Amino acid sequence: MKKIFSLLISVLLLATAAYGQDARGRVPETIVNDVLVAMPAPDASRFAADMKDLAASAPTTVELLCKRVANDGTKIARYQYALSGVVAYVSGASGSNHRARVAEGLRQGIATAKDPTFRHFLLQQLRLIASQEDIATFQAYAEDPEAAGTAISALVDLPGTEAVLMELVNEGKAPKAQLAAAVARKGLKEAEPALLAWGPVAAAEDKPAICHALGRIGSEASASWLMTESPADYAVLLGNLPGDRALKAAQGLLKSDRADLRCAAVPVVVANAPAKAGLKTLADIMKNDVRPVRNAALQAATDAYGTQAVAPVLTKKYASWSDDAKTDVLNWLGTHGIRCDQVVIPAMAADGELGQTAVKVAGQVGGPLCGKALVACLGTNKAVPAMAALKSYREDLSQEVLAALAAPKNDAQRENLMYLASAKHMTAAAPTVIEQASKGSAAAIRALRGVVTESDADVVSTLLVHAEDAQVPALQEALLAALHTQRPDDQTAKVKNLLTSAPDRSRFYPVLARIGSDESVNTLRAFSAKEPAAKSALLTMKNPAILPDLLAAAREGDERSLERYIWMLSDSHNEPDFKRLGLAEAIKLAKSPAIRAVAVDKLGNIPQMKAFLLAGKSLDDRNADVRMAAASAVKRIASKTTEEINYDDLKANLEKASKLFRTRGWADDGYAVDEINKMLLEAKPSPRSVLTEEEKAQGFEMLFDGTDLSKWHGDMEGYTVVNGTISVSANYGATGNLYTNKEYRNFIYRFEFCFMEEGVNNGVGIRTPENVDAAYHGMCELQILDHDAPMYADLRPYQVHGSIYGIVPAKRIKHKPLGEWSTEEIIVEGDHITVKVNGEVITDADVRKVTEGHNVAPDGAKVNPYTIDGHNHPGMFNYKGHISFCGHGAGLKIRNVRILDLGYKK
Amino acid sequence: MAESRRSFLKKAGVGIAAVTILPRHVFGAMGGNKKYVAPSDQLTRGIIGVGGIGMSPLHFASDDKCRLVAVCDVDQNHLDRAVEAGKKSFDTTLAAYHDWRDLVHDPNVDIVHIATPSHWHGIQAVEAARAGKDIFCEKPMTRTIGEGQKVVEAVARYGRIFRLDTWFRFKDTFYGLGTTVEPLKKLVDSGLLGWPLTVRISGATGFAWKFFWTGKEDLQPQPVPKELDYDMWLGPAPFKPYHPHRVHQTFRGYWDYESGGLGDMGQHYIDPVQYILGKDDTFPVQVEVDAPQQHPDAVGTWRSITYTYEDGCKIILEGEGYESKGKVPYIEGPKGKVYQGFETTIPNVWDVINALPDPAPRQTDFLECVKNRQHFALDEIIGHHSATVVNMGACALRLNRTLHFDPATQRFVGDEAANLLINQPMRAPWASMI
Repeated sequence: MKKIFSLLISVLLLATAAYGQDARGRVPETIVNDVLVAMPAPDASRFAADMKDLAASAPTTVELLCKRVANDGTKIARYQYALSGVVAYVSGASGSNHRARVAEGLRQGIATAKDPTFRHFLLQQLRLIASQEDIATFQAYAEDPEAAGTAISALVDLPGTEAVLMELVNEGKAPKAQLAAAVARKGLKEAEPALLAWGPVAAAEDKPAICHALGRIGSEASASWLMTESPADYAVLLGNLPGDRALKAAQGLLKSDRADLRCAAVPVVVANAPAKAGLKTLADIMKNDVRPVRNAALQAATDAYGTQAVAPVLTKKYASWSDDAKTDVLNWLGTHGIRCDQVVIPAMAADGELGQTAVKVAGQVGGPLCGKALVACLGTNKAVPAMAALKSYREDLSQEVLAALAAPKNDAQRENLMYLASAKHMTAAAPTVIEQASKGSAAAIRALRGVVTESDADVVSTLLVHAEDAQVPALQEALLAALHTQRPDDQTAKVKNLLTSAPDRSRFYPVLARIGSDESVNTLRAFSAKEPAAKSALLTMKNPAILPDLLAAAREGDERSLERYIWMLSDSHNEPDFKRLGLAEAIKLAKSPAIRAVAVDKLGNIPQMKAFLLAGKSLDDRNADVRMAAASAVKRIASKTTEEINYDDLKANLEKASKLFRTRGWADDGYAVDEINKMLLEAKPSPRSVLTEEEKAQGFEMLFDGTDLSKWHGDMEGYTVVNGTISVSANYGATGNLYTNKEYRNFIYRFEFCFMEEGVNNGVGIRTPENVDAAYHGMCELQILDHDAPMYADLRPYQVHGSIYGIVPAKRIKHKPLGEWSTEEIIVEGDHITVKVNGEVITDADVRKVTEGHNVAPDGAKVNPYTIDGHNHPGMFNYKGHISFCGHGAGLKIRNVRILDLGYKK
Repeated sequence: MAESRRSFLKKAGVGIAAVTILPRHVFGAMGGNKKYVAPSDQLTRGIIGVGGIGMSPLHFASDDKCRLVAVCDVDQNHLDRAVEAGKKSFDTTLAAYHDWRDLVHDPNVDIVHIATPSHWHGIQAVEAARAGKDIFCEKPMTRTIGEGQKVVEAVARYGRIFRLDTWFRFKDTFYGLGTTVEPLKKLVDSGLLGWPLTVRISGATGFAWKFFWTGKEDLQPQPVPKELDYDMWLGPAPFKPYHPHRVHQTFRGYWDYESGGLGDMGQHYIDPVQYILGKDDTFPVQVEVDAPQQHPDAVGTWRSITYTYEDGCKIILEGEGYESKGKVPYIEGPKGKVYQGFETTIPNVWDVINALPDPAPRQTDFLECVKNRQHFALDEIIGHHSATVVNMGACALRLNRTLHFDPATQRFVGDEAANLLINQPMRAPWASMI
C-alpha cells in the first residue's frame, strides 16, 4: 500500500514538475500543502489569494487534492474547503480565466474517485462551473443512485443539452421522476410520447413527476390521460394548448366539481378569450361560483385586462350579485385602492360580512365622503370595524370628529367619538370630554387621558377626588397624562401639592408611583410606614431605588414583590456580587417553583464562577422548570465567564445540564448539548498535588491537594477551589480569613503561591485564634504581598513579603512575574520563625529575643517601644493556634499546601 | 346528511353546500356542559413533523375551531409520542402517517401544517396546494429562492390560503425593540426619521444570531437508528451518510437542510423589517458578506451581512462577537434614530406616535381567512419575499462574495454560479414537485 502510494506521488511530482512552478517558485504540491494548512480562509482577501494560487496551477492542484482525499481517511474537511473554495473562486468574475482548468481537474477527480459520496460532492462542485465540455461527465452519472439528481440538474442548467436529455429519456434508465422534472424544466416537448408511455405503468412515486411534466410540455395527446390521472396538472396543460382548444377545455374544466381546478382554469379562459368574452366569464363566475373561484377570476381578469377594464363590469352588474360576491368586489376595490363611493358607502349599511367589509374598504380607499360615513358609523352596529378604519385613516378627520361630537346622534356615537378623539390625541376635544366626564360618563373618563393637557390637571384632580371607586384608575391615568410633559420632579411636586388638600390622599399614591422619580419613592416610603396603600403603590414602582423595599416585603412572604425584586435586581446596574447575593437569597425565599426558576435563570446573566456554582445547586431541584433554568444558566455562564471555574464543578454541572437538555429534547436543545460538549472538550482536568517521597517519609500531611477545602474552614466565599488551586476573590461581605481545622504549635508549613493581579495582599496567620487580627492576636502574621507593585512604593521594611508583620522585616526579594508560581516554607519552632521563598531564607528570627520578651508594653501603654511598629502584640506568645490565610482582597492563588506537625515539645 | 365544511371549501357544488349546513339549534340538545360546535363549522388540521416545533403546545393543539386530526413523522418514536399525546390531551386517536403524502391527501384534513426541516417546506407546500389544501408553514418558508417561487405559483394557481408562521410583524414584542413593531412602523411611515433608513440587527440592538447553531465537519457515518426512516427524512436533499447531528435537533447546521442561525432566526428578524420599511413587494438589490470561508456542508459563522435596497435602505446583520461597539441605533435615518428599547432622538416620541394614524388593519386570524378565503396578512408572497432575503444571504456566504440581485426577475445579476444556487438539485422522485 505504502509503496503504491509513493509511486503515485512520484508520478504526480513528475507531472507537476513538467507543469512548472508558480510566481513564488512553488510546485503544485507545495501550493496544495500551503493552502490546506490555511483552510478555512478567515476572510475574503485571504480566501481570494489562496484560491488564486490553487486555480492558477489547476488542473494539477485540483487533481492532487482529489487524490489525496482518498489517502487521508476520515479527516477530509480541509480538502472540501479547498475544492469548494477554488470552485467558488473561479465561478466569480475575478477567477473566471482559470475556470476551464479547475473543471478539468474536477473531471479527473470524478473519474478516479472511489467513494460515491465524495464523487457526488465533486459533481456538485463541477455543476457550479460547468460548460459544454462537462456534458459527457454528467451524462455518465445520470443513472447513479446518489448523483443522478445533481447530474441531471446540471444538464438542465447547461444550454445545448436537449439532445443528451432526450437520449436519456429514450433510454429510460435514469430515475424517471428526475428525467420528467428535467423535461418539464427544459420544456422538451418531444419527450411527450415517452412520458405518456411511462405514465400508466410508472411507479406510484414517479407518477406525480410525469404528470407534472406533461402538464408543462404536453399537447392535446396528453389531455385525456392527465384529466383522469391528475386534474391539477391537466389544468396547467390547458394553458399550453392552442387558443381555441385551450379555451374550450378550460371552459369545460370550469364545470368541474373541484373549486381548486376551476381556479386553475380561470386564467386559461381569460388568456384565450377575447376581452369581451373574458369579462363576461368573469361576470358569470361572480354571479354563480364560489368565493375561491370568484377571487381567482378577479385576479386573472385584472392581470389580463387591467383594473380600468374590470371596474366598470363590476360596478355595472354589482347590484344583481349575491352579498358574498359583492363582498369580493369590495375587497377587490380595497386591494387595488380604487375609490368608488357609490358602491362602498351604500354597502356600509348592509348586514353581515358585506357591511363589515364595506366599512373596512372605506378605510382602505379613503376620501372625505368615506371618512364622513365612517364617523357616522360610530353610532351604529359597525362601530368596531369603523373605529379600526378610522384609527388607520391617512387623512385628517379632526374637523368631522369635532363636528359630530358637538351634535352626536346617540350616546354610542358620542362615546366612540370621545374614544377616537382620545386615541388620536385631539386636544381640542378636551372641553367636551371633561364636561361629559363631570357628568359621570365612564367613556368620557376613559377618554380623558388622550385629550387633557397641563392646564387640565386641577380639574382632573378634582374629578379624581370625588370619583366613584371604579373610575379611579382611569382618572389616575388622565392625571398622569395631563402632567406628562413636565419634568418628573415637577410632576411629583404638583401631585404632592394636590394630595395635601385631598380628603383621601391614597388615590394619588398610584400616580406618584407611576411618575417614578426618586422624590416619589421618598414620599411614598414616608407614608408607607402607616398606610398600606402607600406601601402597595411603592412596591409597584419601576425605580430601582425600591429594591430594598421589595426585598423587605419578600422577606415577609410577599411572592409578587419577590418576583419583581428578582427582575429589577437583574436588570439594575448593581455590581455582579450584589446581584448574585440578592438572587441567592431570592432562591431561598421563593415558595413557588416558577419564581425560583426565574431567580435561577437570572443567575445565568452573571458571568461569575460563583454564580455558576450557585446555579449548579439548582440542577437537582425537585421542580423540572427550575432544573431547566439551572441548565440554561450554567451553560450561559460557562460560555461567557472570563473567570476560571474548577474543572470538577464545571464538568459535573455541565454534564447534568447536558443531560437535562437531551432529555427535554426541544427543537434546538441539540445545539445546547453541542455547545456544552464543546466546552467540556476544551476544559482541562485540575492538577492534583502530591507529597514528595521525602515528605511522605518525614510524615508531612497534605492540607490542600487541589481537590477540596475539607481541612479548612472560614470564609468559603472568598476562598474557592479552582482548577487545583485555592483562588482568593474579593471577600465581599465576609471575613477574608481561611483557617486550618487543626491547631498547631511547632511545624514546617509549605505551599506555593502566585499573584494574578498587581498588588496582591494576604498573609499567613500563625498560632491564631479565629476571627481576630492574627498580626496582633495570633503569634504573628507573615506577610504575603506583591511589594513590587508601584502602589506600595512607600512600604515600611516590616511590611514586605515574608516579614513578621510589625516585628521583623524580611529580606526584600524580587517577586516572579504575575501568573508564575513561587514556593514558600515556614518553620515555626518555639519562638523561632524561619521563612524561605523559592529556597532562599528571607526571615530568620526569634520573636521573644527580638522584643526582649515584651509582646506588650511593660507599663500597659498603647505604645510598645519593643516592637518596630510600636504596637502591642498580645498574641505573640500564644501556645498554639490555627494557621490561616489573612485576605485583604483578590488575586492570590495558593496550591500544594502541606504541613509537618512537630508537636508541642519546644 | 350535512355536507362537511371541508368539502364545501374544496369541492365545487356552486353554493349548494351553504344551504345544507344545519342550523346550530338542531344539535342544541347534545352538548352537556360543553359548547357544541357543528362539525361543519370546524376546520381540521394535520401536522407533518412532530419532532420539534410541531409538538409545541402552541401547535400541538386541538379545539372547537380547528381540530387536530392527523400527524406524520418519519421517526416512529416521534409519531408514537404524538399519538399518545393526542389521546391524553384531546381524547382523540390521531391518524398517524409515515409518508407525508398520505397526510396531504387525507380527505379529513383541511389545513396542512408543515413543521418539517426546511428542505421539505417547498415540496410539501406545493403538493398540499395541488391537493387543494390550505397551508400553515413554519419558518423559514423555503431553503432556496426557487422553491419559494414555486410555492407562490402553486398557491395562487389552486386558490389556496397560506400562512407563514412568524409573527413579529403583528403582535409580539419584537426582541430588542421592547415593543411591537407597530409604533416603529407608524414612525417610519410618518417620515420623521427621514429616508433612506438603515436597520441594524445585532447583539448591540437586542438580537442574537445563535451562532452555536453550526454544523460539524468530518462526521463519521453512524448506523441509522431503527425508528428513523433516514431516506425519507432526507427526501430531496443529497444523500449523505447518517450521523445523528445531521437530523432532528441539530439539522440547521447543514446547508443541505437550512442555513444555521441565519436561516432559523433570519426570517423572524427580517420579515418585520421588510414590513417596517415597506419592502414587502421587493427585494434588496445587493448583498455583501464579511465572513470566513464556509464549509460546503457544515454551516459556519459570519461577521456581517449587509443588504442594500434600490432606494438606499439597508439591513445590516452583525454576527455574534462582531457587534458594533457602543450605543448603536436599531434603525437610523437622516432625521432620527431609534435605539434598543425604543429609545429615540425624536422628542416626545409617544405623543407623536399616538397622534399618527395606525398602520392599515391586517387580516391576522388564519382560521377566519380559511373560512372567508381571504389572504392571511403574512401569506406566501410576503413570506417568499422575506425568505428570499435570508436565502440571498446564504448564497453570498457560500460563494463568499458580494452578489447583485434583480428584484424584477428574481435572479442574480452577472453571477451564474449564484443563479445555480436559486434552484438546487433534488433527489428523485422529489425533484418533480418543484
